[in-house]
Amino acid sequence: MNGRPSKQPILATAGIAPGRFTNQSTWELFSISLAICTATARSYVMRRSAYLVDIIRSPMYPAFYFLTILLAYHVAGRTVVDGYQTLGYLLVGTIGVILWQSNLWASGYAIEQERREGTINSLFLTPASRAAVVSGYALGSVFFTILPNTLVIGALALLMHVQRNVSDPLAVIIAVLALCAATYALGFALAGVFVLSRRANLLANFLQSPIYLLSGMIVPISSLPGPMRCLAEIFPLSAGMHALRQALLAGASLGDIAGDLTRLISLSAVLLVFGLVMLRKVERVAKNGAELDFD
Amino acid sequence: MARNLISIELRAALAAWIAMLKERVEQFGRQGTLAIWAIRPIFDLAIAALVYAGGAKDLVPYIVVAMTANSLVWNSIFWVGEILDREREKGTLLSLFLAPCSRLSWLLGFAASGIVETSIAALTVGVAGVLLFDVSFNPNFLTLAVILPAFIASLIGIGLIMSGLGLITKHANELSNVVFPILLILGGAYYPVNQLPEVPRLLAHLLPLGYGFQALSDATLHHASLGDVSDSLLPLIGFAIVLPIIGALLFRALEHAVRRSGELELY
Repeated sequence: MNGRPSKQPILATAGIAPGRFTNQSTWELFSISLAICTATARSYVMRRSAYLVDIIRSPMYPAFYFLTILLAYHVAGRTVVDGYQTLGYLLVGTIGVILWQSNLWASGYAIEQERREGTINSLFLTPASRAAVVSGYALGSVFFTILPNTLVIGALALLMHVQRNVSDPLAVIIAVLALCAATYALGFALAGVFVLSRRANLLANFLQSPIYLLSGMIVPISSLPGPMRCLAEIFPLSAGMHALRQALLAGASLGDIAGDLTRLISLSAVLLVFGLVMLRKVERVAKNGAELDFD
Repeated sequence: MARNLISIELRAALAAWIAMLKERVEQFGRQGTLAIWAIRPIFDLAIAALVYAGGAKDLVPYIVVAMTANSLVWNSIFWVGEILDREREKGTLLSLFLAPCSRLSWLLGFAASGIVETSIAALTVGVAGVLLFDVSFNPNFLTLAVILPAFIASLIGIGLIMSGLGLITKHANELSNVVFPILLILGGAYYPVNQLPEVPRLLAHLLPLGYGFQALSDATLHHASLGDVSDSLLPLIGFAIVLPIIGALLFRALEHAVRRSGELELY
C-alpha cells in the first residue's frame, strides 16, 4: 500500500483517457502544447488585469527607474556613457530591464505562482507540459507587461529626442528578438530553482539588481571591478545588450553583431536545457511526496 | 483610568511587536533569508556609485548615507504598508480588528518588527560604503538624535497612509510597487534633491525624504550641528508632525469605509 500511485489512475483522476498523451505525433503534441501555452497566457493576463492597481503598476517601475538613473547621470554630469549618448544608453538598458523584469516575474515565477495560489498539486496531476505552462506565463507577460512598458518607454524616447543611428533595421529586430529569447531562457532556467528554494519571492527580488549590473543595462560592464567584469563578459544578457546598443545607437549591421548574437543564442540554449532539467527535478520532488505546496 | 488605558495600549503594542518579531526571526532563519535581504541593497548602492564613479565622485558618501536611510523608507512602504493585507491573506485581519485595543497599538507593534531587516540592510550598506568606496563618517550624534526620530515619524505617517490605502485597494503589494518608484525618483536616495532640475526639485520638496537624507548625510559625514542642518531639519520636523496625524486620520477613515462596506476580509 505504500507504493507510489501509477500514472494511469492519476490521469483517470484528472479526467484524461490513458494513452492520450503517449501515442501522438510530434505535430499533435506541439498543437496541444500551444493550446496549453495560449490558455495559460490568457489566464495570466485576465488574473493580472483584475485590479486597476495591477494595470497601473505594470509600466511604472521601468519608466521611473529609467528617469531616476537618468537624473543620477545628469547630477553626475555624464552626458556620454561607454561611448553612447547617456539617454540612448539608458533607453536600451531600460528595454533590457523591461524584458528581464517581465520574464523574471512571469516565466521565472510561473510554477511558484501556482504554488502560491494553491494549484501546484493540480498542475502536477495534469499531463500538461510544464514547459508549455511556463511559456504561457511568458507569453502572457508579453501582452500584460512588455507591450505597455514598450509603449511608455517609446513615448519617453520620442519626448526626449533620443538620437538613433540605425543602418540595418534587420539587425535591430534580430537583436531585440534574441534579447527576448535570452531573457525568456533565463526566466525558464529559474522557474524550477525558485520552487525548489521555497523562497522564490525573495530570490526574485534579490536577483533584479545583480542582473542589471552583470548585463550592463544601467552601468557599463567596463566600469565593473575585475571579477565582476569577467562574470559579466560570459553572462548571456550582456552580449544581447551590447548587440542591441550597437545596432540601435552605433549603426552596426547584422554582420557586426553576429558574434554577440552567437554567444547570446548559445548561452540561452544552455539555460533552456538547464531549465528543463530543473523542471524535471521539481516534478520528481513533487512525485516523491515532498509537499511543494508547503512554505 | 487614562493611565490604565495607556498601559493597555502599550502592552498591546509590545505584544504585537514580540509576536511579529518571533515570526520574522523564524522566517529569517530559513535558507539564508536574512543574508539575502542584507546583501540586496549593496547592488543598488553599487549601481549608484558606478554612475558617480565616472563623474561627481564626491557624491558617493551622500549616496551611501541616503541608501542606508532608504532602508527605512523601504520598510515603511513594503513592510508597514502591507501589514494589513498580509493579515487579510492569513485570514487573521478580522480577529485583529476585534481585539479590545486601538488599531494604532498593534499596527505600531507590527511596524516596529521590521527593525530587524531594516537595521541589517542599513548596516550592510554602511559597511559596504566604508569597505568598497572608502567613505569615512564623522557623525554628530546630538544632531542625529533629533533628525532620526523626525525622519522615522514622517515614515510612520507614510506607512499609515499606505496601510489605509492598502485596505481599500486590496492589493497592497501592487500599491507599494506603484508608490515606491515615485519615492525613488523624488526621494533623493540616488542624488541630493537640491541638485535636480527645477521641476523634479520642486516636486521633491513636497516629500520629507530629500530633507531627511540631506540632514542625515550632513550630520553623519560632516559632523553638522543642528544649526548647520536647520534648512533641512525644520521642514522635516514639520513633516514629522503633520504626516503621522494625516496618516492616523486617513487610516481611520479608510478603515471605517471598508468596514461599513463589509469588505474587510474580501479580496
